[in-house]
Amino acid sequence: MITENDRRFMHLEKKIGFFVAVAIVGFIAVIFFIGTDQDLFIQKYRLKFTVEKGTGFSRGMPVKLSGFRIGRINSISLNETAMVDIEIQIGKKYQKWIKNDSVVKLVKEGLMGDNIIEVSVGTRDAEALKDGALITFEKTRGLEEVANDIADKFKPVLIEVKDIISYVNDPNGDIKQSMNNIRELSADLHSTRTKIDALLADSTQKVGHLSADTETLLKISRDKIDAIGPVLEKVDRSMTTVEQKLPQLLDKTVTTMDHLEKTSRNLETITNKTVPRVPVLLNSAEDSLQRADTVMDALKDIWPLKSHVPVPREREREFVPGDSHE
Amino acid sequence: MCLSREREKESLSPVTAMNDTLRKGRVRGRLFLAALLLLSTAGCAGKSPEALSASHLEAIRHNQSGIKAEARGENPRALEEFSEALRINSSIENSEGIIVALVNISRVHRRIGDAKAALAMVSRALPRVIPSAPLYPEVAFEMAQVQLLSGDLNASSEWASNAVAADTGSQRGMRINLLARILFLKGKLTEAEIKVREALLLNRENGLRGEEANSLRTLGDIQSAGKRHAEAAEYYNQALAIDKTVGRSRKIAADLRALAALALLHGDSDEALGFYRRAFTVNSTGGDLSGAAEDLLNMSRIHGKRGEKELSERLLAERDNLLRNLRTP
Repeated sequence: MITENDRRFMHLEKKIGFFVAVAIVGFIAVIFFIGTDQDLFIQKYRLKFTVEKGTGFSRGMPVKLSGFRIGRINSISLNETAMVDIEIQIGKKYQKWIKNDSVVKLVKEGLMGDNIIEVSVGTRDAEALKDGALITFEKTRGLEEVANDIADKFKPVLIEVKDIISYVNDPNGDIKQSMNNIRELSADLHSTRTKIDALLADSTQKVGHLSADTETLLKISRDKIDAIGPVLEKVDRSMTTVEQKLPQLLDKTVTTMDHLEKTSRNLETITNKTVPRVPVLLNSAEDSLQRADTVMDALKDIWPLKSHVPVPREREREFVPGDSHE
Repeated sequence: MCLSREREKESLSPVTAMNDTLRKGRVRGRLFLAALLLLSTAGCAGKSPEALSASHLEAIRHNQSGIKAEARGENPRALEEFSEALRINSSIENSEGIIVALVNISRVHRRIGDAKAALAMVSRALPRVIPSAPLYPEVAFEMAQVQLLSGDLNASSEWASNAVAADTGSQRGMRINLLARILFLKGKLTEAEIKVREALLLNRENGLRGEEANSLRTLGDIQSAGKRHAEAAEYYNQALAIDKTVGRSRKIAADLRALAALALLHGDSDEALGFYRRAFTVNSTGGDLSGAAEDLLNMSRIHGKRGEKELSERLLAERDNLLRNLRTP
């Protein structure tokens, strides 16, 4: 027979009872926490809205107001018009802020966060939405759309940047050529500077020589100027003579000019008388020539001369001389 | 009074009387000679029965002026003169004058290089002349040359033969020369040589020095074509000597060019260049600028073949310059 002397079995009933109680309490606590997390223990009401596409929405997705979760998406279903009906469950205690002018939006939490439904707070005077009411859904642009929009805006800029880079990198382009030219110019400048340095050194040397030459030249010039003195005196004397004789010379010139004028006048008179007669004289000369021609023609036909003058018939048959090797 | 005269006679000495008789004799003699001259002049003088009208003479004068203008190289003036001669001769229906004017106009056009205009003129002259007419050989000769310029060797040789057949005068050698040249161009070397030798004899006989040189040049061409270069050079040199005597620049240049071509056949480009240089000088100073340009082109080609590119290009540039001057009026 088993006795109850083993100490491990002493107060066994109490111990089992304690463990069972702890387990039950733990289980209740877990259920409580899960229920709290799943909003099982709060009073809720439902709101509905319709969207064109269900993309981005999922069942259980949090619904937030001013950053606080106030509910979840309860159901998502496709309606008869091929649009998507979404029902959300929100805690009853938040109903006072959700008015008939409140809107819901599908947004992202941060740049890389999950999608959530954000409910805006309605105006103070507006009526609170009741259970099962429709709330307005405001479509927001998704990240992809924003990115596309940005891409569309940036594309021309990027193309231009690409063109600019190509233009800059083109070996035959202006910039590269200019750079090459600048490089060559710098090289040339370097050599030019070397030459200028040499030139300056040379010039300095030459200026030294030049100053010496100038000094010599000045000395020679001074000597020459000294020598010019007597010459100038002679010129002065000559000028005095010229001054004395010039009036007589001018008088003579005036007289000569008078004579010349008279001669010109006479010549003009003669010309005026002669010129009208020139055509008459020419006509007479022409007539005389014609008469001489006639006389010559007559003479050619006279016996002693006739044999020495070509017969006109022969003259008539005169050709431009021919040549077999033209 | 009679008594006094008798006394005077008696008083004259015998010497004085003799002088008086001699003086009277001289006077009579002079009077006789004058009468004889008057009689002879009266008998033989007077207008010729074939005296030409003023218009006729005017046409002849224009024709002669045209010939002189052509000789000076004033071709437009020559054409004006011949056209005027043609107009006057047409106005008096002077057939011979018309033929002469048409042939002369054709000749000027041909020398300018306008074969079409030349053919039109000589074709107008041909129906007006029969083969037995004295002008026929000249018209046929002109037609032969116009056809030669047009490149129709068969027609050209036919007309040249007609000209030869119709001409029995001093110009026959010239006509045969042309026929021989055409035969040579047709490649009938033997026939050409026979003809040209006949022409050479006739031209020497008639003293046609220019045509004699032409015969010798053709003989040179025939020898050269038969690869008898030494004989060819001999003929060309003889032709050159005569042309120098006659003083015909174009013909001198032609002889020099022929000698240059012969030197090139020998492969002696230096000698060829020398001849072309001489031909260029003759042509450029003689006023034949197109001939001078051709000489420059030949020289340029020789230098080009020798690999002397710079020299060749310089000569070509000089030629272009010359041709530009030629085109600028």
